[in-house]
Amino acid sequence: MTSAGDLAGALLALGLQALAGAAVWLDRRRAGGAQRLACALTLSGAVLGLFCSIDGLIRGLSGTLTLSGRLPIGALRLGADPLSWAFLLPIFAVPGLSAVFGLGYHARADHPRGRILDSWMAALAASMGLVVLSRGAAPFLLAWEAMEVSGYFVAAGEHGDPGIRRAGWVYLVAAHLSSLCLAALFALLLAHTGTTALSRTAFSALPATAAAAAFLLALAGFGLKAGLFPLHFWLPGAHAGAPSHASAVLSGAMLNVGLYGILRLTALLPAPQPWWGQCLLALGAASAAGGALFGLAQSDLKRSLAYSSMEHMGVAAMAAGLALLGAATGHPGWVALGVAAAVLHCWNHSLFKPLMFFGAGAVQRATGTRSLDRLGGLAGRMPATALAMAVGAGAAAALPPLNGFVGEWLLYLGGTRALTGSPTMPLAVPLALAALAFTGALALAGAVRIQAAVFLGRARTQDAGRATEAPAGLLLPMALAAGGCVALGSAAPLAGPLARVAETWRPGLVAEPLLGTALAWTSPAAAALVLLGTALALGSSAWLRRRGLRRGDTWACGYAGGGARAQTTATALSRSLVELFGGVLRVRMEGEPPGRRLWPGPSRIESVAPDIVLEHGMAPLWRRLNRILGHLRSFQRSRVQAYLAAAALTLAVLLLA
Amino acid sequence: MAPLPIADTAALLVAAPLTPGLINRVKAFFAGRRGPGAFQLYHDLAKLWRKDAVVGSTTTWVFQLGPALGLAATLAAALLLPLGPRPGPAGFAGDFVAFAALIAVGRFFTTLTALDTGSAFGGMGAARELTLSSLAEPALLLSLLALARISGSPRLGGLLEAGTRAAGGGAALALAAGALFVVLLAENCRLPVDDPQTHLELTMVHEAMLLDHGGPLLALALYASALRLTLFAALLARMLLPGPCPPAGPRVALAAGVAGVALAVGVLESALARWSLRRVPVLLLWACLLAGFSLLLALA
Repeated sequence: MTSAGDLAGALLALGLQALAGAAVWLDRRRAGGAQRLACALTLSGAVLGLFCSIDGLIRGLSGTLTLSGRLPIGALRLGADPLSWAFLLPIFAVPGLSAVFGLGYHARADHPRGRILDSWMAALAASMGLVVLSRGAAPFLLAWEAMEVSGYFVAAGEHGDPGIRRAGWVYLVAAHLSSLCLAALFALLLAHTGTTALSRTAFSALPATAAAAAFLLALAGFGLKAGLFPLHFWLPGAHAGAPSHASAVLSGAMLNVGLYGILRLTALLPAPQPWWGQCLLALGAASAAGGALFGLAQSDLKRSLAYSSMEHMGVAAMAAGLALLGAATGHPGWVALGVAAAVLHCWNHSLFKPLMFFGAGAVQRATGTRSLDRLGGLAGRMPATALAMAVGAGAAAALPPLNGFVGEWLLYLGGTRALTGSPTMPLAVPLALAALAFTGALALAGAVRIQAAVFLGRARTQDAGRATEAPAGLLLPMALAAGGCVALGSAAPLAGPLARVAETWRPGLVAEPLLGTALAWTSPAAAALVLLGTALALGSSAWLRRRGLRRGDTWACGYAGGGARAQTTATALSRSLVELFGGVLRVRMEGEPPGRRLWPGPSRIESVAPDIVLEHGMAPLWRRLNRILGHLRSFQRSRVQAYLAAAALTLAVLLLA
Repeated sequence: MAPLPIADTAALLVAAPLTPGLINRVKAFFAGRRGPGAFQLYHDLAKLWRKDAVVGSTTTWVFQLGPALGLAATLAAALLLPLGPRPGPAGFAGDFVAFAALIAVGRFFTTLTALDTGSAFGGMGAARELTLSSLAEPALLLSLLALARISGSPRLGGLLEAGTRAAGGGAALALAAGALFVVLLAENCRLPVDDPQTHLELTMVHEAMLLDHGGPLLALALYASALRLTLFAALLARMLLPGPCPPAGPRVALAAGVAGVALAVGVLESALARWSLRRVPVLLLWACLLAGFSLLLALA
């Protein structure tokens, strides 16, 4: 196919996804036929879109398309290049998987209001695709705003809960701050270049100070979207509160758009400075380590997963920072490895995080809770879900041979290349690598914690004890995503496509030989590791069967193992780590401890781990702003005479000026 | 013709249970006891392997497969380690990160296996292991990064020879070696972090996770931990060996080095008491700082 064909195919695929949003309204009864039709439309859009994107990515196609030039804010220019194709992949794949999961998870018969959610999810998918395909300020900002607004209705879909309404409100504030930054960014570009086109030639005229300001605005606007520390404050609430198949899209596809924005803008801005890369490295390192650490303190399964998303976006941002540093200091090797690591890690995250949100949804559906301290023992009752979640948890903890490892390893390789290859380098690189090492160890603890609290040991509540395995309709998307996690672990075939992206990001770069040799070992090593593990596991279980395997009580220090309440809970498992970093985490105990009287009354105690930026940063800031700006409100509700006076004054000023 | 690198790895796999045996000999000598023989672990493994296993009634497939999968990861890590004069059987650029990650895979399965029993002790051991390793793993990676900077090589085969290539990097090398030694103690649950010989469950770290293992499952777990100890000892010995190969050949030198590390651990364990669990993170933080300073010195 030609580039125009691929672009048209991708637009058609987005159209099909949008059409699915209309199709859900076809039947009025709770039959669910329309939901199946919408799912089929989304899936066909996903397949078509994936085909076009992969084709465009492998062949490195790029092309543009101008739809109309009559808008006051510039032409509707669309276009695609390997950077767009790379980020279109999750935008097509995740909503497709999520639609299949939604058929069983959010069946129309049980959720009659789900049609509204489905429509907004379709709008979200289509608008995310348009953001990535935009080549001018007008389509970009329009698609961005559509994405933000539909994202709000998706995140706040279950608005019966006041906590979710509040989280949705916080999301909306963050989304509009982000839009504001981007509007300012495009205004700045228009003022300096006279055009709103997103192209390298248009940007080349930008003076150095304006380029620096544009970088900072992009970092704030897109960093808010990607959930980089400290701009992540909206993320945990929004992702935890949404229904699980919606959380999968929010975290597996929408966060990537923020990183896409950072990569796109930094590809276009002329003469990148070393401090840009250092900024991005520092923000990424803080998000990665912070996300891993905050996730350990959460007792809600989905909040913990949301913080893990922040962690992985931080890793991808670090990789982008390394690439930017390489571009500023003239090291093509850092650029190639950095861009490849950033894109690969986004892909990886878009596989294992939807998988884990699906798993969390299946668990919540089976037990009615997502509190880590109320689950347990599900591995026996939901073995397939447990296995899929174990793959997701292993990938999230960057364990070989799964895909999460390859992404982080590419970043390590880039950092090591910087360490070994150049005599002098900014201190940000070794500091970021240290943060990455710390993040990896904490992420392992987080993965073990989630897997153990949900699936291992005994059921802690009756509901968890009565759980049954998820139906095939829920397991299928999980199995597909888990298969993807294993398949991308052997990343040698990805060297070519990743090289195309890096070469698009920095023209003139030759990335393929470097990435080819770097990734060549991953396929044989992953296959060997899988074979070795399978062989040892099969061999040892066969031997166990032969020698005899008896069941007995769990041994607990001379006693038979205690009941379900004596097990180590998720809170206990991470307690010493949380205490070690208590100064950062600020976990507090709330409730009434049992009295010291002879017959103590009922007591309740709860460990609360709020988001520190939201609670100690943003909320006080907003309260203060509200107090200051509140003085203006008296003017807003004043008399007609005052309004008239103000209008006359404005008119006079405008006439005189 | 020189033997293939895989032959060195096979020799290491066979000799691995000897390392804890050597440490126990040294400790017995200092305590004035007769103590178990150096080959005791071989006898234990052979006995355990032939027994049947009792598993907890709450356990699932995780418990039955965990020890084998953990051992598979440790074996894969062994394949990455260069032992002879040539790089390891599976060396590649950035393999030191894969080495650390494979050790982490082993930890993933050990902790999950412990938590699958639903025992409070298994959970306690896993919680301690995860806490300590969250500081030990950065120290390991940072010291390997420092070695990579000193040697200019991104492969284990090159970076472990930092000592021969460094011009004036002696201080950085010493700091990295100190950090690696602390990591060895922490990752293998030796004193002062954990007492491998304790019988008091409340104070255990690694042993608490193995409380419910029996028969072949315990044999797999014990062999994996002996292998991990030997891997770390070989890593440290390989790094500290003098540059030009001694006349006896690099393999004998490496074996002597591993024995030397075992001797050092044995002497240390005879002289030290176990530290309070609250103080251990401070020790590991020191290891991180040592590794960090080593990297800083190497950067200068």
